[in-house]
Amino acid sequence: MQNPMLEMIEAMQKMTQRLNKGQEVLQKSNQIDIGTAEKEEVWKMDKMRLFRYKRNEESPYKTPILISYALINRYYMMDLQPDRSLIRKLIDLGADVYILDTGYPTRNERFLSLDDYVNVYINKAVDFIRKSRNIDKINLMGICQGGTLSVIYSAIYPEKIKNLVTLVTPIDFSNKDGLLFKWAEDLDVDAIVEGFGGLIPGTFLDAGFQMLKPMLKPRKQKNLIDMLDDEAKMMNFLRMEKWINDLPDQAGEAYRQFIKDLYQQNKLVKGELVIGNHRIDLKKINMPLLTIYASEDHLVPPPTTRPLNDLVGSTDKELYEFPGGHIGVFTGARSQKELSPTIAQWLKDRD
Amino acid sequence: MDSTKNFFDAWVNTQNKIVDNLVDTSKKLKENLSNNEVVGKAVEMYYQWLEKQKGTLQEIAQHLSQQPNNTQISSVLSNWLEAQTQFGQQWLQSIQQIAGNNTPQNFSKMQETWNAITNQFMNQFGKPIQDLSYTPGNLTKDVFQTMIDGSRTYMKMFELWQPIYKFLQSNTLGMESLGKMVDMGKYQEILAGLFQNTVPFAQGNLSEQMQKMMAMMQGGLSNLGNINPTQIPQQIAKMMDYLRPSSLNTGMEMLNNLGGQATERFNKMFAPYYTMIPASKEKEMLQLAIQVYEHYSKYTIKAVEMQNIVITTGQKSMENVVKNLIIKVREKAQNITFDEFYNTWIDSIERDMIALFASTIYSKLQGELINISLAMKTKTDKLMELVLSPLPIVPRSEVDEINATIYELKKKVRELEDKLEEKENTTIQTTQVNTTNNTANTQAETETQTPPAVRAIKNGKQEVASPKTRKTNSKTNNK
Repeated sequence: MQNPMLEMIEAMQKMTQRLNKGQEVLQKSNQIDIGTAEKEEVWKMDKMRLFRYKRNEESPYKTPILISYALINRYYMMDLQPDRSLIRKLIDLGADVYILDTGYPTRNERFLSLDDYVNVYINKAVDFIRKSRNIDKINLMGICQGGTLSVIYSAIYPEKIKNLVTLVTPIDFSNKDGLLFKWAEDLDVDAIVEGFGGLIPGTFLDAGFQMLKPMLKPRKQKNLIDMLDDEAKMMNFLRMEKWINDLPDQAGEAYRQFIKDLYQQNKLVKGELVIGNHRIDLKKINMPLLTIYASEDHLVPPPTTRPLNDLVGSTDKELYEFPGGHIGVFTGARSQKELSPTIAQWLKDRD
Repeated sequence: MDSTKNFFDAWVNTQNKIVDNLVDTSKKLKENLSNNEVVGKAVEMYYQWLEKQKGTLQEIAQHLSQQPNNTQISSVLSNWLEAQTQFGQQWLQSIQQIAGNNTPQNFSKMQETWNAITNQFMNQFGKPIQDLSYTPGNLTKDVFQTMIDGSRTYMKMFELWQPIYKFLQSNTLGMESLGKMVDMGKYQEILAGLFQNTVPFAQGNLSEQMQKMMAMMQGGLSNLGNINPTQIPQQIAKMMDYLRPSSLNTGMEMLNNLGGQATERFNKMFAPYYTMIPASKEKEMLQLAIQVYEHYSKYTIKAVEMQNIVITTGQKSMENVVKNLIIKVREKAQNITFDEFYNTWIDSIERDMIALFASTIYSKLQGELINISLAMKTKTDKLMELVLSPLPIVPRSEVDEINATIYELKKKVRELEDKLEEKENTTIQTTQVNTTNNTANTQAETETQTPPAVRAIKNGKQEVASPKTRKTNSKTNNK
């Protein structure tokens, strides 16, 4: 066994060298570019903005895709950097892509409910695309919580959706394998909404996410020290950090209903969920459905996502298991190689 | 180039030189330790190091003295230079100590010295970046902080590792000796650092806020007549102090009883006054303050419970790590490095913590803590509104009322807009249908005069319509 004093000296030596290198690299990293795929704002309502990604030539697809992202975190994670971008890949494969940016709610938006998000914002965005493109139906792709909203939307307005794609989307909240699903049982949501004055801080939700992998931070810190002399790796790391730390607050009313009706009472699966004037019946979803879930997802475990396939009225439906975690679906190398082409081809076959 | 940029570049260069110097000397030291020649060379190494260090520091001092008008820089710089000098001195002493005492008997003294200098180094490293506001972008600063924090955890674990290393070397020591050898207080500090965002380890800030809030209330309470206004907040603050747990050795049951007794005593003490005070803003404030205090007592007790289960899990995790390493050393006669220990510990504690977080007891406790803390916040907000009410400030509750009204109005406007749009579309469609009918009549009248091919082209053009138009047409037809 090595002399412990030598080991100490070695450890100190390595640490100081790397820390020093790290401060140099960080000093150079003034600009952390993220979400750089070119796009233009085509529609706006309150704080919602609809973007259309630019293409060099006309899309071979007749039906455009609207991406509905989660209200938590920001949509640009799907375009983290040019070589890790589900959106760029879809565009390269010919897709015509729109995305709905739900922005950063402030206290002014504290009363926004799920009804507003589904029946107003998503609905108006869908109508805008249909009208401007002179088409009856569009493709809807929902991510995580945005997937839940997309499913709800498709059950209310099946006549407007040609194909539905969900990625890592929680549907059956009865499974308590996921810690978030377990903890939700013991939360007094009304006290939370009231206590935070109707606007749930993104950092509050993030504290819960961090606990799902409690040692991720020390691991990350150690890995960071190991990668300090690799600028490319550092930039990858910094982009991801930027996204992780960009945490919009949540409109209290929408949060209240999402936790109470879904996490605590599982009303969507039971057919008891009411959004605005609509009782949500998943059997009304009759369009082709592609349900994508991640086998190692610790945020939205597979047992919460897969049941959608059996609950809808669609006859053309497919389950796709992605080997990886919740974020890897969008940023992993496999996502670029396999997932994006699968989605593009699936939509093309049904265009 | 601005002066801060100059400063930063100069600082990075200097830091580089200092680290190079440190690394270079460490290497030499290591070589000499291996050859048992360090004693003879220590003095020579000392002077070489010192000269280089002095040169580097003088260089930056000279460079920065030429920078114009930056008092912030000079203040940070002087602190930093001082820290560097202190660190240098400690480092040199440790070299001498290590050089002169490289025997197993003096191992603990050496490691103590070494830990002191690593701590000193970690505390001063990156200080200028943390102190100055010009660091480009918060994210960079945050990541830098993460890097420093991570290094601290790593180095602190290194401190814990040293006795464990010794423990692993010994075949005679039992697990009960581990607790004596490992500084559990330090380990708890590491755990507190790791879980500070999720587990309420530090109620200090909360307590401070509460004290400030009570101090602010004094003004509001000054109209309470018979009650000495200064005594109420002091009494509350005193009780808070009384209830604040000083150590984890305090039993949960005792704390719960204490909390209950204190609340009861407090309520009894003030109950006669409640009836005497007429309904007023002051009475409401007093009641709110007491409620906040009650919540705070409950919160503190629950927080200690939470800390207790987290720390117990962390300690068990450490024991398991050491047990597994003992087996590994005995069975495979393998060397265990610090990195191996660190990685095994991270894997183990993550597994154990996730199991803890998934337990019903944790989930309920977490729920209670969140609920109590937010109930306390709600009451405090209300109290603050009352305290601030004499000032020309719009309280949050009023802003929320305005927001609610705006929300409702927006909703109504949207509904009206939708109806209007629908009506407009229907009107357009009706006009189109009428026009079509008129055209059809005219067509019928002139059909004999129009060739069939031209008629087909005209009809084909009419089929092109927007989805909305088509839908409205179909609705109109159904009606």
